[in-house]
Amino acid sequence: MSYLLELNQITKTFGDLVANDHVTVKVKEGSIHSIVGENGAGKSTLMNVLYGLLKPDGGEIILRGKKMTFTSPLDSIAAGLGMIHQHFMLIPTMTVLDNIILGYEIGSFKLNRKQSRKELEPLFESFGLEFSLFDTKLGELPVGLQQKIEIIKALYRKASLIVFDEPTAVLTPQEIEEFFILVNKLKAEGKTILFISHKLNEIMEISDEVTIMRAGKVVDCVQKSDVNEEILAKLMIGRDLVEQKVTFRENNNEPIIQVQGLETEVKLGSTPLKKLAFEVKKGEVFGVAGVAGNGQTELVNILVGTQFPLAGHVIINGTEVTRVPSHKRTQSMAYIPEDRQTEGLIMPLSISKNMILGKVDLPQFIRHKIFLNFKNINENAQKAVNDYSIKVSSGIHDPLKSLSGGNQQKVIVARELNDEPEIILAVNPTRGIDIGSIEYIHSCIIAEREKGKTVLLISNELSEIMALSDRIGIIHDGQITKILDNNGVTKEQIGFYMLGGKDEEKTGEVVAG
Amino acid sequence: MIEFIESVGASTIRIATIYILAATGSNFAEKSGILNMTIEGNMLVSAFFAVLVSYHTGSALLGVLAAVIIGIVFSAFYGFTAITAKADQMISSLAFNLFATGITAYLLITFFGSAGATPRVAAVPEVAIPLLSEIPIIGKILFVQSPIVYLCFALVAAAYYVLYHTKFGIRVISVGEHPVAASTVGINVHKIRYMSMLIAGAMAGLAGAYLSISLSSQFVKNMTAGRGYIALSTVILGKHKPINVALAGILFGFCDALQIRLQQSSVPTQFIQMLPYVVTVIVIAFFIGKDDNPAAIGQAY
Repeated sequence: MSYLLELNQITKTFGDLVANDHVTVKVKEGSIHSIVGENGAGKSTLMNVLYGLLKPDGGEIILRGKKMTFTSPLDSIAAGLGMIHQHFMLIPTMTVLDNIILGYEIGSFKLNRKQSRKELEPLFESFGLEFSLFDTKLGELPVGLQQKIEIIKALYRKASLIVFDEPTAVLTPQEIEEFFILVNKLKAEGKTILFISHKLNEIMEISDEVTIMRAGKVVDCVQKSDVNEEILAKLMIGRDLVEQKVTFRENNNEPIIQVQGLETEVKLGSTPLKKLAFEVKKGEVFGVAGVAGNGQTELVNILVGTQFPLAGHVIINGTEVTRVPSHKRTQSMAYIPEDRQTEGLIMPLSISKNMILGKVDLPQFIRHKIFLNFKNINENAQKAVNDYSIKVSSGIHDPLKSLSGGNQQKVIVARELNDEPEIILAVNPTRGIDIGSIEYIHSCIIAEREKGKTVLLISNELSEIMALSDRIGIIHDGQITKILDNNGVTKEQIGFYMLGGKDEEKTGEVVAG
Repeated sequence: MIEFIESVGASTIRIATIYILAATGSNFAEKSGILNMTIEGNMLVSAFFAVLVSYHTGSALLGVLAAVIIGIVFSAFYGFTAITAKADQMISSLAFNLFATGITAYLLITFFGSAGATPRVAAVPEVAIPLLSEIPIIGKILFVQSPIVYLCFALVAAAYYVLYHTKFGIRVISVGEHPVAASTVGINVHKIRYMSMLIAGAMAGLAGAYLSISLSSQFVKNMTAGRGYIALSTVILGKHKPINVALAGILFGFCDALQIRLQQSSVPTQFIQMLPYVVTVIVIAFFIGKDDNPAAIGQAY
């Protein structure tokens, strides 16, 4: 049995935190080896040690039977390691060619771009890329293509072991398909792949072997063929996942959110809405399912009042709010936004202050309309941290950015659900977070439903929509093309409409605003 | 009329050279991600040492060399605070500029016993280039100038070449745009930033020498008079591209030259003296548009 890479008993601590505790991973040559674990399990630390960005406190790295010491990325690159970081290490303002050759240029002073280009042409051909791309500014490329450029960058440096750190987090579903084909092609060419992820379906699709990490330790290393998603999930979080699924119930309440005939202008990079309409009844969870980029962003912007439609109406609780900008709205609606980094949270601010964003006018947080009431603010934060089991390192005054993605998301959920809103708008509420946190946030949404609250859930994750919704509206090309009761419908049925399928006889019925 | 064009033209080039030299060098620092507001102080200190060395050796050339060395030393200190010590670059720059004002005033008294100006010293003479200087109009404007002016235009071309066609150049750009990415491909971010900062220092030193012992032949207290800040604007107006930076320098030089000429007219001189600064404000406010600063400018790594 030949191992290309052996990480033996790697230990790395940061202060009191043991990020890697005697971690051992063995990767067979020519295989696709996955390392799976929740956020904070120690995957990134391990990869930074492997790449030479962090110095381990103990343990050894053995590559092709030889003990290696990597003190900088230069060493690991020279040893044939290519790392594709989750956030691409590319420079948007430079050309594709310059991005690829940077740090690995030909020529002692003057750049020999011609020679580099000639060497790269076969690689570009094998990836099916046009040579005109060489001179394109990198920032103009779609994300999927940028990732290919990263891979080419690694191959150009003669990488034989390619590490992908959460590679699909930034890709659209179509790009993910393409990505898997590419990874299998790399494997067929004899490359060894190390795949870091927390998405179990992807792990099951692509891996040969899986190492599972939890809380800084390796829990197990298994053959993919010996396990399934449930077993992996159990190993990863250390307990059984509670299956969460709402049972459909008949609802004849009056509508509380009415969206009628929304239209938006045709604009580059946006999907115009075309008479988009639906209603959400009091006390139900209404899920909007669809492939990303079919008008969800525009719909959300209009719902929260950051964009106004050309035509149509949004009526919340009987009040028309279509052209009321968000800061003037009195019909309060809790909003769990899609991108917690840019909407909804302020990263350098403390957890306790993030907990009152948008709520400072509430009487419990302010004294004499001017001064912050820190006693109540801190109590409020402490209660949320306890209730929502938000994992903080020292306390509620930690900056928000010190939390993992899942815990950041819990802060938003805690804040938004804190003052018992009647209506909740959740947009991809579990994007990019670990299964433990996903499970928890789902349970919160279900709990709100049990309390009789109304939830509008817009998500690209079909499984999420199916687990939580009473009714499902399918959005396609700027319209709600179908509304189904979540009562025995299958993924396939919904998928049919998501991809633009239409009922022969019923077309138009649900579309009419 | 021809005489007017020739004199304003030649004067434009003479003054523009200050801005172009300083800005072209500073552009390297900025491209590498360092906010370089120290041009003003750097030029002032270098200008003083150019005069001091020229005074004692009688050699303008040695004066220029001394200024370049002082410029490099000055920027090395600033580089240390910005790169290694990771200080706030705006605050640190201001401190260096205030230091320069103080130290030159002090040295002026110490070495020359004067609170205002030094005696006149050996300066770099103007050199008319044979044949070229005889071309009508253009000849008088471009080819009867200080050798530093000719050197300046060669340096602009060199800067363009270095930035876009050498290994060093793309590394400078990479550490200014995305230092983390640069370091993952094995580039030493600090080293590249120091080298860029030293280039900026050498050229600010040259600009300082040009100011005191080529355009003039003495050091006058506070003689930079905000020109270092105009050089800073020159970099921004030129959008960090060497050729555009040179053109921006010429625009500012032209405003200055015109201002000097118009002082003889009936318009109050105070208004005319405002011209270069008004142009700076107008141009920066209305014509630059979206800033194209390197993404990591001002951020320590």
